[in-house]
Amino acid sequence: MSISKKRIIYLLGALLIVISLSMTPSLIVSLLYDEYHCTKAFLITMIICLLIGILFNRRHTPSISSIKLKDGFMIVTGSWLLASIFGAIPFIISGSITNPVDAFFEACSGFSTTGASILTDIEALPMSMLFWRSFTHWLGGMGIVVFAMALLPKLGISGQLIASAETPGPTLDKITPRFSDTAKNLYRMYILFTISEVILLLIGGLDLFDALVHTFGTVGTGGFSSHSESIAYFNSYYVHWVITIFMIISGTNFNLFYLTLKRGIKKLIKDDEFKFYLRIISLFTMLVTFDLAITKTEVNFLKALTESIFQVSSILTTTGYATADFDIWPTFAKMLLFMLMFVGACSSSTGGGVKIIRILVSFKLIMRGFALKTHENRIINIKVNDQKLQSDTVSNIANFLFFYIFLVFIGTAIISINNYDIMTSFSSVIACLGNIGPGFSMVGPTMNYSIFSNFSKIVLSLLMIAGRLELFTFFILFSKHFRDSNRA
Amino acid sequence: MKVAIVGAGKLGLRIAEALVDGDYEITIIDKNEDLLDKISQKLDVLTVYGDAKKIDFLKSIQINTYDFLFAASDSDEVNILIASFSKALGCRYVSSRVRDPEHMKQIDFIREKMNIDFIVNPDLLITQEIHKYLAEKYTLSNGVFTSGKIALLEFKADMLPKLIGLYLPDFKKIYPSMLIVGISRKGKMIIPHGDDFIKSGDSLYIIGEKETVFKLNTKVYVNIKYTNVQKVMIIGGGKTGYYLASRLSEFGVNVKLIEKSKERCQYLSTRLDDVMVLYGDGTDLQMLQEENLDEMDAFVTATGYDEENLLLALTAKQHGIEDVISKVSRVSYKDLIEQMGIDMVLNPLDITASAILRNIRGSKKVLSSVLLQGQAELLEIYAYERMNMLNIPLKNLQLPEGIIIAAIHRGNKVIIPDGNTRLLRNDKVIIVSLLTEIGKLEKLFKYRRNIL
Amino acid sequence: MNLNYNLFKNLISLTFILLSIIMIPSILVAHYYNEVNVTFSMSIIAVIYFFIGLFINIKSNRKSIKSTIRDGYLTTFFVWLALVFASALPYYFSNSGYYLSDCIFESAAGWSTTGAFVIHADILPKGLLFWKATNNWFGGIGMIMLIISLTPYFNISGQKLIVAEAPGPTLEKMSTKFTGTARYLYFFYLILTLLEFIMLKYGGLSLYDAAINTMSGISTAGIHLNSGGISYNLTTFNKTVVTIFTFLAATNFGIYFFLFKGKFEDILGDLEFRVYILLTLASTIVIYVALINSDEAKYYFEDFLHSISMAISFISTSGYSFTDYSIWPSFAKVILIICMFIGGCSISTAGGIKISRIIVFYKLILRGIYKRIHPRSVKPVSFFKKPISVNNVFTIMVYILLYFVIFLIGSLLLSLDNLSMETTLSATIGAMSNTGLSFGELANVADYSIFSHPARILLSILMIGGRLEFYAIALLFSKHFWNTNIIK
Repeated sequence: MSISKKRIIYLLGALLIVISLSMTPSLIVSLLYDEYHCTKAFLITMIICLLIGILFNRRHTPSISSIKLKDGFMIVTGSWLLASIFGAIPFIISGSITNPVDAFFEACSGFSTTGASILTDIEALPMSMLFWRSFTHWLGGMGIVVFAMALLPKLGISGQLIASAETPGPTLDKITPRFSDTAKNLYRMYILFTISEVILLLIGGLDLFDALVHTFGTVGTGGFSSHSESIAYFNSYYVHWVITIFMIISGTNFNLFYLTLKRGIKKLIKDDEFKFYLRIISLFTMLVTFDLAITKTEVNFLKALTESIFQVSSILTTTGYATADFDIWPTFAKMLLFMLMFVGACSSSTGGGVKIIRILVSFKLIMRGFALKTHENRIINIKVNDQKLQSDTVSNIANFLFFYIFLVFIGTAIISINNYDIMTSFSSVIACLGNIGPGFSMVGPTMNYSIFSNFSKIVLSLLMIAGRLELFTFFILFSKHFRDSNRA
Repeated sequence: MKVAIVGAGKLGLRIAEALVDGDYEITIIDKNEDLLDKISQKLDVLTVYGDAKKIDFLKSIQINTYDFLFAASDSDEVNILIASFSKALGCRYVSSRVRDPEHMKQIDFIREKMNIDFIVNPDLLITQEIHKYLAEKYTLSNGVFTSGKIALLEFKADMLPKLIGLYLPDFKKIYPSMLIVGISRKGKMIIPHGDDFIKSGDSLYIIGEKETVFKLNTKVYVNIKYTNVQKVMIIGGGKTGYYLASRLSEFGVNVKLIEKSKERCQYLSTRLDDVMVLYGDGTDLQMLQEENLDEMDAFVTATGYDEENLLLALTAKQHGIEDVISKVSRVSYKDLIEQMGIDMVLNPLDITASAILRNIRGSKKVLSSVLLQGQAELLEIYAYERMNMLNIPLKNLQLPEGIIIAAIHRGNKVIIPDGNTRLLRNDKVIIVSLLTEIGKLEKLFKYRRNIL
Repeated sequence: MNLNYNLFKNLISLTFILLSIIMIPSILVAHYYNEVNVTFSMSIIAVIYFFIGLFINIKSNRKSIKSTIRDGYLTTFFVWLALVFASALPYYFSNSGYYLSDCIFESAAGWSTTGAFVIHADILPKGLLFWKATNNWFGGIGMIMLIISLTPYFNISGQKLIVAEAPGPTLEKMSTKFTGTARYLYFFYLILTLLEFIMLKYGGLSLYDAAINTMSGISTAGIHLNSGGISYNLTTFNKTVVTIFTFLAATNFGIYFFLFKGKFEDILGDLEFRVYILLTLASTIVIYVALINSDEAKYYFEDFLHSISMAISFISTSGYSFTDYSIWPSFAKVILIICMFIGGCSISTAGGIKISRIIVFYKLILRGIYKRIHPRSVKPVSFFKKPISVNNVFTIMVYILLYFVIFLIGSLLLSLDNLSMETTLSATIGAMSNTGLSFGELANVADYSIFSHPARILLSILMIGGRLEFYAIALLFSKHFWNTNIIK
């Protein structure tokens, strides 16, 4: 077996061990709630994962310290797929979700922090299963791989190449000289936010279970809830605003937070991407609030504002929590949310979607296009944060957008085989590819994905992972150039 | 014979050096006075300062009395002009160096309309040699070259273990009708003499009577499985790199061409459809490894710098690549190279010089020639009456190290010479010479002066 | 605002003169059908336009008609603006009580070759319907193109003018003088028109019906005969004729040039043409399969006819329909939507993004994948062996991005009318791609009267924008355009 394959198996083995261990909290929860069939399910899964993981690890020790980019892609994609597959097993064994395809869908949705669900009755699930479901958000949020970055260097393997496959978005800054340091810092912040939100939610009156579940969903920008009505269940302005704020935080570039600690708030405020991010939130919130107020959809202005900023943030950061059934909102407001589904959160955050930086660069590109039309010979550079972008980077961004659009159309065509109305097919694909969760029409915030065929569910699951991995990492594996990397 | 060389660059000088021992009157023309000064002190040539593309100048040096002109200035276009003008003004035979691939596409037209007899492209020549080397190594060629009643065979000494350790005289005892004319050891070509012996790993070039050679061939012929060269990495997107990549990809080889300049990369990528053009530095090992350096069948270093070429070639060799080929123009690196174990080192100047010389000598003298591993040449020449080398026993000829008289066609017979053989008039002599020594051949061909 | 007034005056004067002339057939038609009001008002308008044109022409300078690209855009924009307004007046003054916004809509739909209406075809006086069809015909290739082909003195500046109006990205020169190219285009256009007219007449349509259908068919506008909007009443023969000629109209006219010159190998060698045929076939087959699978009773032959005619209808962005496709399976509809976005060939009368751009779009995606595997590789984007310059690639990239941005913004503005998401989005793309027929409430009948009056004006802008390929319109929003001396 080639060296590459050995390395890949070794790393995937490590991953499986991690996954196995990560089920421990859920195991404990199952004990606390006396859900012994779930305990059994978790134990079995944990043992299977441990065994396979150790098996992979023992037989193939890595001998060479460097990993090729090609392998990096395989490792990352493999990680997500494995996590989703094995993460689905507890659901199946415990009988909570009987259809394996459904379980896979739910697990994918969890790890990719999408938040789309095939469950028709959420509350019917055992507590530990609900906990596991939401915990996968938390894990997926910062990326299992990034977590491994802190460990891998100990094994003498350079992690940067792998992460370049996974790290969301174009990287404009590398904060610390050693990549593993960066990863550790990001993780620390992640935990900090988690704890803060849990505490604040507890203050808001949630019980510990709900606080944890919804914090996982927020910080991981996932969107799974323990209640069918999502956040609307909590009829409190305080809770809505707390979650809103944390959603916005989770959708910000985490590197900026670290830089703020080291060099002050200026770095954060002046960041082009962050500024654009906040502007979008403000503008859209204003417009939606305006629309809701005028059409008297909401009771009073404060409610309209709360709902609109919540929904806007939720969709933009691709979390997917809902405090209202926005599918019955006036078309203008819906269209605003629809547009946001194409934007996404900031790069290097836990959010998904196209990413703000790309949208920003695209706008600059269009503007530049105009300027060039009138002055053909001008040289105009596209700058972000006062740094000129290489033409390669700009190309990559445009390529990404095109690929995204392409996938949306093809995906819609495939899903439409199930013969639901166009908005359903269309928004389900966008919601999954962008890791948002709820869409419109039959996949609206009060609906679920159980309506789709097994085939469509698998397609949507793969789209979720592809979206989380920023498309190319996933689809590269199908390219003939990947299989034969010596081909011109 | 009067020869004019325009351009005192590396190539111009090399040609001059090669011709200086022979029966030629050489004039070197250049626009750089200092250079000319240095040259006139080193070589026995006439140096003229002037601009060869000016017709007045050409007339002033009486170009019409010249037999041969070779234009080797920096610019292709100027070379074409100079050659064309010279021809029009009466020079008997003109040739020019053209390197640009754009011109190569219309080469026939240029030659015909501009009336240039011979156009030489060093990069293309090297490419041909490299290609031959790579292709022949892996193809089903039976390694035999014939001319008349004589045949040349190339094979690995290890195929006949009894040969290992044999000195040349011993070899002659076992195979009296054959002669070892060349040994390729660790990428370097050696012309063997009495005190040389065969080592394991050597590739032998043996000449002899056709039937005997063919019989030997059946014993050593290896039915190499048709494993094609499939993956080649070339460092250096200059003209050599370009031609080679182009040639190889035509044959279906997966080529990766690495080039340092972004602009050049773009130029290359638009013209080379089936070649992967990579923008990067050849010394960036990580990039090379990313692009599967270890999986390559062959690795060619063709940057503009000898040192870089050698270093890169070494690196590749360390990574266990089968065939590593390097382009090196500086002769002083010869010894270093032997120790490095690079499979093949090519000197573009030598190769080009041999091509030019072949032309200068004309087909009356040289009946046929072929390059051996790009480092030695096998020529068959016609022995004219008054040549210096006639009627003297070979052992008294004082042949230089790198030259050997391999065989003689006399009438209907084939003679494998020994120390006592004499060359007679009208013989067709087969000589094997290292490219670096071809100048010395001129001495042999010199006509005896009627001083007596 | 620095505009080449001289150029503008020349052009606009000729436009008005030409406009008055082409009104004549409609006047005659109105007279024939005894539509007194229409006859009277149009005659007066025609005369007025003629004299306006003459007047401006006399006052303008024949010499020095040099122009820049910017002049081209600006002039084109104003000329078209004038055309749309001027052509709206016959409707307005026909004493039928139409709102001005509706008249503008009809006029815009006419010139942009979008087969949309707000005033039903059967209520519209025949003279005015004929006028709309006339607008279709002349809008197909363009008025400016016509003027240039007729008059010699625009020569090279003509090329710059055309850049804005030309129906497609690259206009390969068919002859050395630009006037020649314009003439060739009209020449082929005329031949196709005559052929279709003769065939339809032969097929049994009345003179009037044949004329209307030909003019709107060959310009890929797609008018509907009866109030139901669905041209059920045509015989199979006529339906076939319409389908075939629509296909021909959306082909790259360069192909006809090859045909004309006898270069047959070049025809099949044209990449865009091949992709066009491929896409049409693929869409047909895929739709057909979907239809067959969904029918209980299997009308194999009819379904096939409908598949191919609808595929061609949408890919050419013509927008006619021979069947009730609103009940078609979702999958088929999605395929048609994709066809609408893709559009027809460049240098044809079709709309959409245009196939040549989509080819580049697709190649960019593939290249994106390739570049991820070989990050250091330098690879040009090639259009059938010839590499495309970096500038051109960027232009196309920007155009596609712009297209989608306008799609979203347009939909957003339209959504203020509070129609369903599907209808709103369909309307936007229906207008932008100049198809007319769309989905949601715009299926089968391109009746845009469901929109409010301000929305109708917006739709008119979108239609004309789509026809002029947006730069002309969008440039007006760029301050660079108004003042060429601004730096930032």
